Amino acid sequence: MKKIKIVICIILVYLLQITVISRLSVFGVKADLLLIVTTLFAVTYGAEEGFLMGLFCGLVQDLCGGSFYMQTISKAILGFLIGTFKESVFGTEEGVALTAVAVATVTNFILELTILFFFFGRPVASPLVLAVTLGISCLYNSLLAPLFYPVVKFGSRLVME
Amino acid sequence: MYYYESSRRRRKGVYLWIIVLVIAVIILNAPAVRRSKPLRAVRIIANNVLFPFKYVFNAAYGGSTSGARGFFRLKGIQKENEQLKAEIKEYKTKIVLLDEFSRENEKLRGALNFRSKSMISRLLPAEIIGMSGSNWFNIIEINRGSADKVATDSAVINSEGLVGRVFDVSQYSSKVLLITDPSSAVSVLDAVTGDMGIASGNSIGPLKIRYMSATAAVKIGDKIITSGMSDIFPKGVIVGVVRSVNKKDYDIFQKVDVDPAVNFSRLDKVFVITR
Repeated sequence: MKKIKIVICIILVYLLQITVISRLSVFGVKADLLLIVTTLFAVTYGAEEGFLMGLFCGLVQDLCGGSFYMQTISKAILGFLIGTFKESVFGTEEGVALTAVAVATVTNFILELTILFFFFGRPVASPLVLAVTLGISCLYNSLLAPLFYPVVKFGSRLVME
Repeated sequence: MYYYESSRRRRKGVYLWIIVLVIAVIILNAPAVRRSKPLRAVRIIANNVLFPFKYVFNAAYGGSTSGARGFFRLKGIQKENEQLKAEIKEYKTKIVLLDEFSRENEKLRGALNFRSKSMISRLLPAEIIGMSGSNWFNIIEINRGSADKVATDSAVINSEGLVGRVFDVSQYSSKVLLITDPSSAVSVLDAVTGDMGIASGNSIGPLKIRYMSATAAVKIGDKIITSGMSDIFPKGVIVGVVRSVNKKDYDIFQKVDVDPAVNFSRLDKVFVITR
């Protein structure tokens, strides 16, 4: 039952991402709600749970978006890393969660670039555009994180208990 | 002590899962597996199941934003109404002229034994129900699929110009690769000089034209249109306007940046050119 609830929540977040959040881009750069949720979940519950949350989030994105299954790997690894280092680096307070999302955005960017460009050889934007995209998405995701932190906390408490 | 050991064991399990995942992704991306029927079926089912929800979410978002926008624009609505009425009159006159040209064109093509079907009769209106959530892909999802006779590689346009091409078709929805995506490539020509090149996206910002000869007399402000050299895009659809030209003496090609004609941040309705 708990797993079904989690999958339903992830699908709802995914729908919100592709219909609303993707349209609210800043200079063409979109925020990644599923990355924010994975990070905040990993910060709250730890490495294993963060890994599973990232795995499901990425899988939903890849299955419905058809994108090389790179987000399944990148988000699963991301959830695991953030969960592993949460106590030693980030702690669990709201302000620190913001830092965690910034770090997660950079890590996710590097992972996805590695998978897409170096692994599958897919053409990507020019280095300048990549740098601008990384900067804006880092700022955008981090600013959205404190807004979603109470929602993720409340939602995950409902689902996990 | 017991807690640390069990935690370490669980982490080892996660490392193993990550290795399995990497291997699975490599296998899933092998061309033969990627195009295989079972994998495609899973993706089509996932898209079909989520389609009604995407539609509802999209309608709710569209309704709320247009309501809010309408409220703030009430003030200038009468002036805008008059302007629009004047524009409609102008367009009606142009349509009459275009109809005449179209009839004449069909007659001439018929005389030359050209098999043709008017592009206007093949335009299928579609609404955008989703956009890719990732910054790596410039993809939109539309509410038309194989049930509406949309096929892979159908061109997608709107009133401003070229939008992209369909690359994945489900029963009720399709995914469109925008011309701003780095993996997109469109054969284009300068409408003024006729010089050809390949336009590809750069995710955000202007399109880049590659393989444009260094001897081509491209100027800033020139209109760039599709060349019609491929089976996908019909000839003459506007792609954009030249923003900058970078020519070096020792290069055989020049670098041309083009501002897309379509405003991709305000995209809501498009037309699929059915095959």
